[in-house]
Amino acid sequence: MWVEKYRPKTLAEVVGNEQAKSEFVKWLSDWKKRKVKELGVFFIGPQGVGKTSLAYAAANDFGYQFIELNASDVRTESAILRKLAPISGTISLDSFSSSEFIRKDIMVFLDEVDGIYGHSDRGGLGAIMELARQRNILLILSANFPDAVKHKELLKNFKRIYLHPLSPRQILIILKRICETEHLNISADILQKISMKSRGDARFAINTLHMVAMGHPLPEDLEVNLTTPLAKTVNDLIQCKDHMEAINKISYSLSRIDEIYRALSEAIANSNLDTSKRAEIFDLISKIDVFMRKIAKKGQWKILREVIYLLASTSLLIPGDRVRYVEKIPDYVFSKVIYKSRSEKFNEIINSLKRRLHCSRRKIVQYMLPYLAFLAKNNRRISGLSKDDINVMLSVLT
Amino acid sequence: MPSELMWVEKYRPKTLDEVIDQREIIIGLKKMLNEVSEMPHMLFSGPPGTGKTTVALCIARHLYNDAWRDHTLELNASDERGIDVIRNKVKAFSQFFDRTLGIPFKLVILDEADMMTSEAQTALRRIMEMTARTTRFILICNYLSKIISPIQSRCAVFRFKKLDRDDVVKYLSQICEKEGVKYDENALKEIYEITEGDLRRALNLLQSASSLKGKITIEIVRKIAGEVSGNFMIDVLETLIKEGYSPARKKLFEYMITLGLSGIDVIRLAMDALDFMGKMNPKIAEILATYDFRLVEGGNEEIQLSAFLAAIHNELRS
Repeated sequence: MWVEKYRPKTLAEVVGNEQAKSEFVKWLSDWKKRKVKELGVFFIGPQGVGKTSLAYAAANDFGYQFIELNASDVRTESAILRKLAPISGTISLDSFSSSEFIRKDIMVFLDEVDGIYGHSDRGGLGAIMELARQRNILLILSANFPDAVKHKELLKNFKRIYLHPLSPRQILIILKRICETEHLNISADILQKISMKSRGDARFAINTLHMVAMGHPLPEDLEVNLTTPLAKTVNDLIQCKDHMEAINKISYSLSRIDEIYRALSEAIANSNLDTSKRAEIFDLISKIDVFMRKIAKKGQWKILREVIYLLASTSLLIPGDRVRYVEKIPDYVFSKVIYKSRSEKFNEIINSLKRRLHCSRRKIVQYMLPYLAFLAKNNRRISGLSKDDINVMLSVLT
Repeated sequence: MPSELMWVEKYRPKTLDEVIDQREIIIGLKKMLNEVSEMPHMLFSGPPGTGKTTVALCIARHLYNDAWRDHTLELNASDERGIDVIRNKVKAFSQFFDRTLGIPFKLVILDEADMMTSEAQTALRRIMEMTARTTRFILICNYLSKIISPIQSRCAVFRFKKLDRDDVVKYLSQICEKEGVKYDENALKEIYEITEGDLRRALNLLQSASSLKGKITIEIVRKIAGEVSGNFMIDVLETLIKEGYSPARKKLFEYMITLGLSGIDVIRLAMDALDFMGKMNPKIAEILATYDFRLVEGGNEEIQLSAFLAAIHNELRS
């Protein structure tokens, strides 16, 4: 299972949910110092956003033994104790008498709490809670949607940490990483589709990638989403025939103005408009962008009204039958993720050349790299550049 | 196979006496360096490849000998993102000044200073004043007119001129002798013409030509020049013409991100590429200037470059 194979081993590898991550780390170090009153942590968030991964990675980083229990394990008290038997020995035995036993702190991760609580499984949970209360184990609970009434006691006794769906960009980072390790050659288009359509669920994304890698076609039902708030605003705007209506659409949209014109520019870039029409619209979007920058940087809010007018009249210029916005990761951001490792490699090469040759990055690119590539093609070795460096260079420059 | 240094690196002069041409400047500088503690800030202007950076590095060596790297901060205005980055680096560098080392001051070499906006230059002027006690600046630029006058008036200005053809040809022939490469005299003259007196490019072209077997001739020089003088923007622009806008835009992003270039760098490379392709005209020049300006004003690179490419596409089609 790739989901297990690529589960982050350290906190640094965990993608996304930075806030939850730092909250958790802070709480953990306080817990170690016995400075917190909560019994443990309660992760709340939809599936596939990294609840288990976060706990697992933290267990590794902080030196805990990680034990995962899920709803079906927690049927009865005896089942629990059986499951914890290998370690409960270290708990119940007098620790002085087992001095040779290297005791490792234990983190018990209890999944799907919302599935078990309040049923007959309660006895099992009670047993674990008791262990947590005695501070023999560090208990981490996780649930998708906590029921405030049913989980009153849990919500009170546990530090709540919320996790959110990953952004398509973050999903893409995870997928790209896997592709690199597995040496997969999967088209940008498919990676883009998977990232967008997994709706922040990394597990789903990884499983889909695995299927595609095995040669299965991409499931059809991964249909493009035209109804996200941003897609709706932008497509409505493109269809607008009336200036006032367009202004209202912009003013009452939940999306920010820069999100709207960025999405518009993405739609225009990937449409088959006439070159002159495209140039005309892009010129206006470019101006809007500069104005927005002025507003943000110099606080010239008084021009915001004019910018909205300009954006409205720009969208009236867009032929509604020729342009449609499909929400996806913008091409620019996509390239950033896809070419990340290559650009890091280039960065190293260029920086070392900059130090040696005392000139700017642009000059290296313009006046050095083509000659270096030429020399390399004629089998001349340049000192300080490894074979690997040369290959990376040639792969891009020729 | 033994590895070799780039000749621009290998043959970069280490002392002022070795510098090619620029005789008046060298005489003036030597006089100035007689009384080191009196050395003013300096401003070098002139076309690329005429020895500005080399002379600055020679001065650093003259001041600090082998320890020159310890007491010299090299910055490139076109690579540092914003004046704050420059300020912080200069501040951190000039802060600790150890008089017991027996050095008169530390040296900041700021290359491509004319890439800075006039606002940034005003800030730079303040940085120069604040650190004046411990630090001297050598500013380097292509166009003196792009440097604000308060900075010019604080510096001793040296105008580097385009290198003389005979000097360059003589220098190239000396290198050929040292490297054991056979050449036609005319080929070296051709190198000078093609590289417009830019010694950096001339040396690179010569080294590339030497990597082919046999004597360096005019034909070989011309052939290589055609291969290496382009940049990736030619590929992007050709894609634009042949395959259309959307694939060209993706390609542009790919190159830009892989090579870590800024939007302004891209416009500059596009300018050279369009020139090389023989497509330059007043309308194209206006587009280049417009988007350079909008990027300097802080426009988003993704949006501005998309718009730039659309404008160029439209112009190339008409």
